[in-house]
Amino acid sequence: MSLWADKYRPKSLDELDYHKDMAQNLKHLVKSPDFPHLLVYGPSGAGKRTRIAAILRELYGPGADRLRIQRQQFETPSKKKIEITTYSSNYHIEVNPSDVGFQDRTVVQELIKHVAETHPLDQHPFKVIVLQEVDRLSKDAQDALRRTMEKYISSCRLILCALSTSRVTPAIQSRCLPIRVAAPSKNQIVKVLQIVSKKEGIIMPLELADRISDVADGNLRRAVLMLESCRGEKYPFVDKQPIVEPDWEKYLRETACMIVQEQSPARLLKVRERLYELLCHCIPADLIFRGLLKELVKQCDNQLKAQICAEAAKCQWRSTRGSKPIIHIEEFIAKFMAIYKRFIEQAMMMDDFDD
Amino acid sequence: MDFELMETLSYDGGDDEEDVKSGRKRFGTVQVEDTSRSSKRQRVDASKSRNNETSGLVTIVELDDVDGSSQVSGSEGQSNGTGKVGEIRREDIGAAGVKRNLSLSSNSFRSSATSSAEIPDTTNLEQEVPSVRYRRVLKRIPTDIPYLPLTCEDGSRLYLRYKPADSGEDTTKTIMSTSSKNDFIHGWNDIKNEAKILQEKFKKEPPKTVEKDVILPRSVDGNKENESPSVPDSLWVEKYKPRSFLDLLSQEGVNRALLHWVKLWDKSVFGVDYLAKVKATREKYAKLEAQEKEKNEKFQRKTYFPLNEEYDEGGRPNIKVALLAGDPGLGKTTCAHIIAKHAGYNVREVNASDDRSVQVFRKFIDDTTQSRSEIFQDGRPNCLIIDEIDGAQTDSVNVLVELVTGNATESGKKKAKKILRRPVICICNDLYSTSLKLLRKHAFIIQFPQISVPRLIDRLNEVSDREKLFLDSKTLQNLCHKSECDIRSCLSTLQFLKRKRCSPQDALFAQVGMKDKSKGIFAVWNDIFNLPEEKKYHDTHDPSRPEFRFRNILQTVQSFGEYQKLMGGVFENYLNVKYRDSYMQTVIDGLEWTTWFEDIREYVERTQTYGMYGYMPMYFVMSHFLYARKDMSRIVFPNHELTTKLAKIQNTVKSQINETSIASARFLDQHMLVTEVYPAILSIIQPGTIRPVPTQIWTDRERETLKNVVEVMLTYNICYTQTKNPETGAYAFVLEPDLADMVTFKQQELVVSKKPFPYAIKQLVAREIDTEKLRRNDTVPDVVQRETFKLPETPKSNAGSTPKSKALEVLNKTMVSVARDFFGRPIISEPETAPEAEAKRKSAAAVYFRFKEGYSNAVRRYIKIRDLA
Repeated sequence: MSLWADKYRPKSLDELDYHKDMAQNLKHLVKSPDFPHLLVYGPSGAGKRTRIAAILRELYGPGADRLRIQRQQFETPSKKKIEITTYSSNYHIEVNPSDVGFQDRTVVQELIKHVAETHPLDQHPFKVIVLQEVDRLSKDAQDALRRTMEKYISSCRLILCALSTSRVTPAIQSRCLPIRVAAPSKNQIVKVLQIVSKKEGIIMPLELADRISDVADGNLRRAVLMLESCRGEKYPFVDKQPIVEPDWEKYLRETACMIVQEQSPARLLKVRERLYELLCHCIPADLIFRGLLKELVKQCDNQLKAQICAEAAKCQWRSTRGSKPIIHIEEFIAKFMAIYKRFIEQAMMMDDFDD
Repeated sequence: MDFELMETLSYDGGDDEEDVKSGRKRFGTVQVEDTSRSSKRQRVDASKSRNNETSGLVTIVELDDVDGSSQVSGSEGQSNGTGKVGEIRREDIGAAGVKRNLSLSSNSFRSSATSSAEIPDTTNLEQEVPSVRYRRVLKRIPTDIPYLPLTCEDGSRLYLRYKPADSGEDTTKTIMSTSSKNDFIHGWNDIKNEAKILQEKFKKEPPKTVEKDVILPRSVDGNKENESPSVPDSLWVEKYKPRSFLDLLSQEGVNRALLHWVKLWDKSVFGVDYLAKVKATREKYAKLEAQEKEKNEKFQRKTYFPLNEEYDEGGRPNIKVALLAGDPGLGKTTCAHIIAKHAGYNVREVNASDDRSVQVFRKFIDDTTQSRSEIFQDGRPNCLIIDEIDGAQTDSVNVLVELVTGNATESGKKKAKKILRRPVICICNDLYSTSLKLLRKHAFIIQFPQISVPRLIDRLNEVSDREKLFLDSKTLQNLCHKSECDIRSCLSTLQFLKRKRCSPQDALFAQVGMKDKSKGIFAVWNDIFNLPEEKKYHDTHDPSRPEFRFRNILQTVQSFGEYQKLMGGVFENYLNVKYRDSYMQTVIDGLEWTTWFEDIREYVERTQTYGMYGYMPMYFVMSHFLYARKDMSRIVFPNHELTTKLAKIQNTVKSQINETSIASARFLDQHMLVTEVYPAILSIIQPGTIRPVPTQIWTDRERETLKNVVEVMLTYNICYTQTKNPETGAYAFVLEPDLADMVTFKQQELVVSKKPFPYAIKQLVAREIDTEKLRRNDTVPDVVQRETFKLPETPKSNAGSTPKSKALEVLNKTMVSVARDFFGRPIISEPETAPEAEAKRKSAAAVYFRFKEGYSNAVRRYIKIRDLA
């Protein structure tokens, strides 16, 4: 195992560092005779997949970790061949159907049918299908899931993994036992970082752990990765050790500064270039929305915050439905510019009046 | 002898009614066509005109336009090919030969008599001479009125004006033909009798007062005239189609140029040396012309269409294909047909409605231009007209090109060169279409200019009067502008108006007559972003009025059709517009419309509700009203670089995730990899804690770090590849995939945080990775074996195996045979994509190495083609 984030990933439910109550509950659940479909959701880096892997291990023992990669081929009704990578053990199969875009419906239907056709050979009563990024599934695919989930319940169970439930249809939600994996708190992150550095045999000042957990923003994977890159950067750690942040975050922050500096169509044009740059580096639109909003809200007056958040929410919601995120991000920025400029000018007029 | 006498007599009866009587009789080669229309045009054959000359009648002028007749009638060819035409006052005609006096008031005859010549049917030529009542002979081309160009004996050009309207005089005239009068004298009596009957009948009815000057070419079938005018008997486009060379509306110069070219074929087709004649005439008039030139240099005639007039060795013109180009409705097809007929050819047409696949096309061309039997069908040689050639496949067009250039060979034993023996006229709209690229080089290209508005109006006026529409010239002018001088569209619109009984003013506002012409994408964007110019003088039609802007944009966009592409351009460019409002309200409005557009588009695509599709163009109308300015800067095309870059990165990430080792990959997805893992990895695999010093003096910690770096790089399938800089020749190691490119941005205040590794360390890392790969492969083969063995169990999996395991397999095989290559370097197997690995796996069994000492190509592989394919 290579990266610390992989290396020190807990293997079983007992080893988990936080949310121990949930781990206990899960353990009971696994032991109980009727294991339901699960919907595991929570923010990125909270430990959803780690928990799913741990559940599988709890269910099937170490055999669940003997994975192999398979490239499966499916044929759509229109005779188009699509290929998808799956990770499977003897007991379960993991797949990310959103990899194939709008053809995900075929994958969901065919894969589940294929897996559920055969009963497992040994004492385990069911197989498990893990579907990643369920919130990216198209509506068709989610609808296709509904019936199959019920139909094949005798031979297989589904574990769905999603960032949030908002994009999972209620029909699916009601068929699953929802498990919310909350982001670890700052202290929990610091604790994990300490464990990692201890195992790695490095001396980490508490101040650095604090700062890393601040920047990591509840994302444990990021925190561990940052620690490792800090270690690569300079060791032994010094005071004010620079934390390596992803470039795109810095870039986004600068963009936000540009927006606050000047509000004009010409500036919007410049901002757009940067947005294009971000988007074509595969940065998802919702991360851009979130990053921008976070920075912009910091800069503006309290009165405006609610209004700006509302606009951002509206635009982001629209962007999830459309296919061109740039339009919606730009709309949000234009609206922010208008609101901000109007407010600033009014404030200046008031100042003049006061004088 | 086969005679044909066709006589059509008709006269105007009541106010709005026409009574036509027609008769058709076959007599012989002499064709007399008597049309008692309200016209003063006569068609007189050359020989006949000579006859008139001898009978000492009116001035004799040479008709310049009619090239065909010279050869046919055998009269002396003159400057541009001519027959002699007597211009006859109607009263005087009767003096010669057989008297024929039809005292039908307000009737005139169009008589065409042709003498029998060697090639009977080619003599079917008609010439028109107006009987000029007030003989206005002009020296310059009259602009406002119809005219007839003539060349006098001394070579000077004259233009005869047609008589103005309102002549209520006696227009009786007689036309006769003396050359063969004995032959058709029997027929003549019939005509006479019929005429008398008509004469008497006509006397009872009041003469018609208003007349028009110019007779329109009329349909051959005179019966149609009997029908009530309210019933449209046929398309007017067809009905009022020109029947002769002089009826053509297209510019005279164009017609003459084409005719001239067709006549160049005479030498090889008819055996008449046309060019020699022309040259003789030219010489004859060279002096006069020179004088003329000196006199009025201003009005020098330009030759618009320079043509290589030389013959090749076979007596055929050097340029063997004519290519007519121009917008629809300029009369190209009509022109080609008339001229081909005029020059005595039998027209064979092939157009877009025919099958034009290469084989069929080749056969057709061969049939029409090569084979003997076809050539003499109908007694006349063929002239091939290929209409709408720009729509044909490039290969089909090239069949013609081969033939023209003489590269085509006879299929069969002989292998004789095929040559083009007959004129070929091609017609296209888009001269610069790619399929015509080759043909353009070998063709005589005639670009049809726009039809002159006065001439078109004149003709339309004539039509409208004949159809009892009586439109004023302003309306007609409007119509011409609307249709952009498209004859076809004008006539169809007129017919439509007639049928609908619209008032003429409706034509101004009606949407009819508008050409459905689609513009290019930049033109559409320009329309959206630019305000139309105001036209004050045209107040009802000012395109800058909102309602017209609205309609124009809507129409333009709708006819363009590709809304999404258009929207891309609008979105790309709208921020370059100058805005006046300080709070960016226009920008926000525009963006809201854009999201609205996207919403609808997405809805339509998702639910297939194409009913909503119709609303999408409204976005462009709104954009126009929001963004249109007088001074829009240049419009830029949406940048595709970004989408390609995005696709590239996405593909890299996708393939990388598949290559990452399983234990890590199951916890990854694409976004995570790009946003979190790769930025961190970039600094992890290039740690600053390794000193660029020889490895001997490294600390344990440094060795540990290096080991870790190698681990990480192997897990995430990252490696260094050695590349040679093409300019400096220096070697460098670059990361594969290029992570730096993927995760770094062009920043303003770029803190150059990391220096990449020096070359030596990169080399070291690369070597370590290779050895580690080999070492791992040594230990895992049985796992791989097991997996591949299992594969058949899953029928749907892709031929069973994972790329990783395949790569390993290959590696194993090579390791068994040779672990190191000739120079002692370990052989590195690059990670491969599935198909490559597949191919390699197939061939792997057949590959072996043989060491050949003393050869530079020491290592040789014998591979069969079958293995590569």
